[in-house]
Amino acid sequence: MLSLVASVAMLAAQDQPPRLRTVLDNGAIVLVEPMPQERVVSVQLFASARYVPETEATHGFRHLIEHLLAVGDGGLDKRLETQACFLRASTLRDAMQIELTVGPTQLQLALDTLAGFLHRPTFTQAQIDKELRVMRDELAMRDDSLLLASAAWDAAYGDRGLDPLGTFDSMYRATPEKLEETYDRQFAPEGLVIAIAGPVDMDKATAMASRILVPLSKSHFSVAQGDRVGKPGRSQADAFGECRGAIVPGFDTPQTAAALSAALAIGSELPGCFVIYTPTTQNGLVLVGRTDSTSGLGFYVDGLANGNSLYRRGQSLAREWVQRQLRTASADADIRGLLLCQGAANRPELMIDQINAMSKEEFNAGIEAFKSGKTVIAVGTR
Amino acid sequence: MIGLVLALASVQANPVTDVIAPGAKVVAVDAIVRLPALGAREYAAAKVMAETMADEVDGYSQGDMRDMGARAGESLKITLMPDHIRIEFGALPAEADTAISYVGHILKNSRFPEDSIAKAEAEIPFRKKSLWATAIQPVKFDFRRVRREDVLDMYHRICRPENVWLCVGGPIDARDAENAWSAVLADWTVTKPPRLPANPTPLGEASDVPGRETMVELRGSSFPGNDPAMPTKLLALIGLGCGKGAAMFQTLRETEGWSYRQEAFLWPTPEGFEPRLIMASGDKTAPDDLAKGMRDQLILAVKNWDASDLARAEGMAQGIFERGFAMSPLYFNSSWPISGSLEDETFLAGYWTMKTGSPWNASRMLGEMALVSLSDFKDAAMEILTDSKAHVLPARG
Repeated sequence: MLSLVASVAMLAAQDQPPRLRTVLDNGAIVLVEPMPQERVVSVQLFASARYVPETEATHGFRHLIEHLLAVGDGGLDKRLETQACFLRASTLRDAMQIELTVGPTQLQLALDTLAGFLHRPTFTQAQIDKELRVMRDELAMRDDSLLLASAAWDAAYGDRGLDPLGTFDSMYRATPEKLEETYDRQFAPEGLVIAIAGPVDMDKATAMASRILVPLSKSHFSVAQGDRVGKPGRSQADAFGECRGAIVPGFDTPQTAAALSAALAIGSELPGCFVIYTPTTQNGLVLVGRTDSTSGLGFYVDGLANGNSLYRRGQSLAREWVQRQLRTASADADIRGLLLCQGAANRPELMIDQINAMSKEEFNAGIEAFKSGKTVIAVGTR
Repeated sequence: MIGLVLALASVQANPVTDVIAPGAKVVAVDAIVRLPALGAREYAAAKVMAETMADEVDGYSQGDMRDMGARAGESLKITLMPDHIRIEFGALPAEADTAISYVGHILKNSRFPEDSIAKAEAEIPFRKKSLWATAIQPVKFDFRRVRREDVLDMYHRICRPENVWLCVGGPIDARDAENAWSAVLADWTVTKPPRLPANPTPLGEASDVPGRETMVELRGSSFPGNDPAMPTKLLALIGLGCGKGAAMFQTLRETEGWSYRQEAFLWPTPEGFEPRLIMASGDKTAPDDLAKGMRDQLILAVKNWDASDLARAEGMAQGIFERGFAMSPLYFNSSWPISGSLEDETFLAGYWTMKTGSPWNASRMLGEMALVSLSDFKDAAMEILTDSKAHVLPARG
């Protein structure tokens, strides 16, 4: 074991303290950020979707796997909760995320639990069918904001913007064999990140997490698709409300900083608005919308001559939007892990740098990106 | 009249509740305004009041307030609940005094312009809520007879120093917060409160929910905030429906496959609290049969509870109240539970005092929960279930 840890240390590419990012030989990454003031340790496993983009044929398979993994042996949740720990899993466009929230002395418990997800399970058709019954309810319960967002992605990116939650038409085609193949691609070691934040010892936590990842062999998969390309458009959702999406490049660009600032500024003028942006290295959408009304947002945005009066407010809100995600163990491990599984150099601070450097002209361009003709519009049909 | 004003002005205001969090980057300011039991018309007036009370206020401009909130990444929120109105604001620590002053102005200097009220009354009935939010608060507002005078009457009746609990959380100096609140109180002129009608019309409830999921609820008997059995009841609710090891998740979702989302929680009422168990289901079984099945299956599960279930509930309680897991049974937000955020912990500090007479103390609550026996745990859960009444909101489709 000593030699193993030593080889990890030699391969480490490090961030500056107070956090340590370690890139392992197989491409997996461990990120540890000590946050001594936090009450809990958040331990998050991210598995990149780089080898398993959503397609019409596999739409929702990753989501189905997430459900089947999280169920575990049926007693996992009870065991964890008895120890005041909690497991949460979710499927995002760019990754699958499994989070263990534990106490300061329970890091090993969290890592042991996560290690269990790194061995491909055997799926059965009976398990799949049973879980699909529950997932039907999950899909039926999606909030209007998610339905509008999904419709906006569809309009902007077509089949490259499929909602990671999936649909029944595709998920009902899942078989154990298909899911196992998807699992292998989803959990390819070079796309794995363990992000740990909370009251932990940085070096010890890094060594403990590395022990789980080091034995995994690099995969032979290759990335099948280039970056998606968005276009303005319009779509409808079986929902109530409206939303607009600015088509933006990666998370660390001036355009994304400006669009996020603009969306938050617009939202501050229209009470009840939601803003959605999930940081990604790919082209994406910054969305602003409302689900309590079907009118007002488009009228307001198109009527804005410029955003000069909102510039400072938008910049403050965007900066705080990012910084707030760095203040709690769970949010910190979340954003850092998600970015790292898309590239070892990605850091949320790059977003803050762009927001701080944003000029008034760039902010106005961010506002323009939400105007008719340049934006993607999703409207509810209910 | 002068004598009356003076006499009322000398009413002891509630002390400021402080949640000192030295490492926090922002300051959370919460004003909790207690609501009495209201009839349909009065509750509608309270809704309009909450919607419009920050629209035009003497003493500050809305733009200034939005800019100040933005510097901390915050915005003003005003929420109506069955037993209170929550005015929530955040600011940078250096602007905490100003934030308290702004909140104070909202409480005493709101202008309630006619056009704001008309706009609110026109918009609110057409606003949509999610099915979960509808199930949590199925109240149907009727604004037809609500006039500006009704809104003003409500404002003057409830926005009074003795009826407001101010809580401030973050890197604050408690004396500064107290001084800022004292300045608010100093020129707070109160008049005789308007009387509420003796026999108000009961609140109307929604008859269905949007979408394809039916909401099935078992609503238990309400109990007062200072009920000495509170720790046992809360623990029983956690055993029933908080977390994935809970009876609702294991039985209704994993065994029966009826539901993706199901929760048990404590809901505030003007008289105290009400235990509620809600399941969203797309199952084809008739809704009333689902409700019966839900109760029967949960009763069976509780009968089979053993020490491991008590231990899980205690562990989950620790996770929620000590570690801040976002699945508290304390549903004191409009459609989601109290979280471990500074904003919610600040709110809870003041709110629990208002409801129970004692400040919220997580360690004490967990200590009392640790003394709950298995039989008391099971009895409390069984009582919630057997006393409950079924409420079904069918899917609108």
